[in-house]
Amino acid sequence: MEIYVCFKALPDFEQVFPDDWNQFTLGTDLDYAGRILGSFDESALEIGLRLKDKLLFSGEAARCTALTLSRRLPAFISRSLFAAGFDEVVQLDADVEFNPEETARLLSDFLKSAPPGMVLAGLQAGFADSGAVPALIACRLGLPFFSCVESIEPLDGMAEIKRSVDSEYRIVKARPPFVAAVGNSPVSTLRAATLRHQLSCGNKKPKALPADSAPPISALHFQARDERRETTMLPAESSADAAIMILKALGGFS
Amino acid sequence: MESSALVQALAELIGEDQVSSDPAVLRECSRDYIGFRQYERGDGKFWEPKAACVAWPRNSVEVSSLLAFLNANGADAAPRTGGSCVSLGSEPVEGGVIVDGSRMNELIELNEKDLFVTASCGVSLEYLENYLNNRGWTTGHFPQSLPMAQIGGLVATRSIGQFSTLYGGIEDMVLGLEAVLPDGRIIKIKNVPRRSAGPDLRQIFIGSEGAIGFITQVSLKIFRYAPENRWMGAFGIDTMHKGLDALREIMSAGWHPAVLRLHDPVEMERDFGNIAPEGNCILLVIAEGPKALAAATGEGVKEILKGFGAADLGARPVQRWLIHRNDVCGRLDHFDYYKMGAVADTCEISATWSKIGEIYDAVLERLPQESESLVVVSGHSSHSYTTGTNIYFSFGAMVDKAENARPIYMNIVRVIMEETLKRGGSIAHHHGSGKYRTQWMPQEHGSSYILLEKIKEALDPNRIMNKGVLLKIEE
Repeated sequence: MEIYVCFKALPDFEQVFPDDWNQFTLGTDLDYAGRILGSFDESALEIGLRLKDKLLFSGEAARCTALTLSRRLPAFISRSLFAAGFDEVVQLDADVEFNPEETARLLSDFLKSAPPGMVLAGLQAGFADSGAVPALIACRLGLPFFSCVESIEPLDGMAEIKRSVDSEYRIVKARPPFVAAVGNSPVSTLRAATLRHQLSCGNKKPKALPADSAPPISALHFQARDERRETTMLPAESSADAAIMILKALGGFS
Repeated sequence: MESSALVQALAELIGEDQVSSDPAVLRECSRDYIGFRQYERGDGKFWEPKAACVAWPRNSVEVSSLLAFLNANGADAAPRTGGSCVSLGSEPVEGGVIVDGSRMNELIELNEKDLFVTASCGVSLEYLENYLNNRGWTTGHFPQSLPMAQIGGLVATRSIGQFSTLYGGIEDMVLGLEAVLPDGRIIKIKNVPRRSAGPDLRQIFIGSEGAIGFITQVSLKIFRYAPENRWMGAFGIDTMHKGLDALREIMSAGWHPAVLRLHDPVEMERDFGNIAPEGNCILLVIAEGPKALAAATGEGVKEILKGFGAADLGARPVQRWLIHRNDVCGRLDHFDYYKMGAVADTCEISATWSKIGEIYDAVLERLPQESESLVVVSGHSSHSYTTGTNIYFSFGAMVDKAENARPIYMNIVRVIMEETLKRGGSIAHHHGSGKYRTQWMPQEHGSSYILLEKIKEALDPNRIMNKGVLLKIEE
């Protein structure tokens, strides 16, 4: 079984300066903020590895490939993917932002040329991303698509997919290949590999492939929320007095 | 003394509202943020010792009557204020009393003529700093615990701030103080710029970790606050050893930037967005003070770094660090590491220039060999002196169950302690001994350890104060 997990190394938006938010363009230099995995992508990566583990445990062949579209994949992220258990990390050499059709085209072009299997991705890469890419990949590949996936279990050549839709769980059984978008899964973090295991992975590098992308789009505007904090000492004689003062300040008492 | 009788007696002594034996309150007031306790709490385990009660005195007189009573009755006292401890230093003794100074939060005096501020032990550092900043002053003390810490605890643990290379540690900032001895005597050390009238008695209490008395009031020096004059720069530098050599050169040349931080390649990649050339360390510099001095310091440091082939990365990495440097306080007990199945923390040591690089190398070499589940180890120097610097190690290791968090954690700490002691370094740069490093205190102090014992014997003969910190408990 081939398992592909699409992911994106995002700028760590929490580290972006308020001034940069307020004059944000695609050309804004966010290198200082560093890059992290999106939370849904991180779940998808770990679910992919767990599937691989279970398939291998039951004696079936399984292989995991992490796939990204980025010129800026930090070495520590690819190292941690190899160390966590990915057999291959593929880096399509293009920077495409806020253009889901183009992203899906490039990712599905690669997937078309690879052996068929399960394709997983996070429901949405970053908070400003469209969340449309996984479905667009399924359309382009002509594969069944499952959204809001929480877990996937192997089941005699099929997969049991647990989805969380409209406040209820739906369990479907499907035969790969298919595309699944992982949402609010309880599996929220990619496993950490021990230093010994990281060292044993040696100097594995991502496989970089050329990708011809369309010109970037522009005209994006963001604004930072003012999160300054002030400390005030409450001149209260007791906890009860302090509680009343806080309630009054919050408009709780008239 | 039986628990309920103890609680009753303390309530009569300082008032019912000032004492609680509510289990939830006790748990809150016993909380320590050492890595393995965070893991245990993430797993729903609460294995810290359970105190009989917590008492909140409102002034020095109440502290005095409390301690005198506990002393007379042989009951254990665990002092605390802000509750940001990471070394088990303020965890109570089973059945003892937590003496919490956080309600003593009076800002007593700002003396702008003599340049000091006097505050009670429970004044929040963040509040004090904001108060001073609004009036054009600063304490110059910015530990990572700033959003949580209070004055008494900062002095008791011999705290240090991120701007220490200019302003010094808390030991350089305390002008005078008031403390209560275990027998209830209130002692005051007056505010003078310097004196030659015997040993500096302030230093008995600075770093005493509540083991010989309770610090109730502190006078701290204040400095002009002029952040607009700051000079900031970040630099990439090939190796940790070259970086340490550069720090030594800067310090020995006589420059005193406020911040001088050298992060190793792991931290450069993880915490600074890989902004320096691959495999480089990152060095952050902030100079402050009068505009001309800040600029001259910054340029002087930059010139030295050029000689070490450092790559100029601009000011943005420093600005980012400045904004986010204390974010960790807001993530404590969010169980981020527990959710990853890991126990993680930091451990800070110091040594002279000739030894510090060796300690860094030895720890990084030994830990992967001796800690099977280690996932990361890194280090940075954040406080430099003319004679040496500190290394702040960060580590994380996978844990299979809560019972194993502490042994896995302590095995890592053991390696750091051993490699430091082997080279004559200090096992604790700024978090104090707490209770988790006490076992190494005899080796830390060598032949001078007896002085600690004698001071304890003289001031706390009944050994009621914060049992387990600084001194090994005799079996």
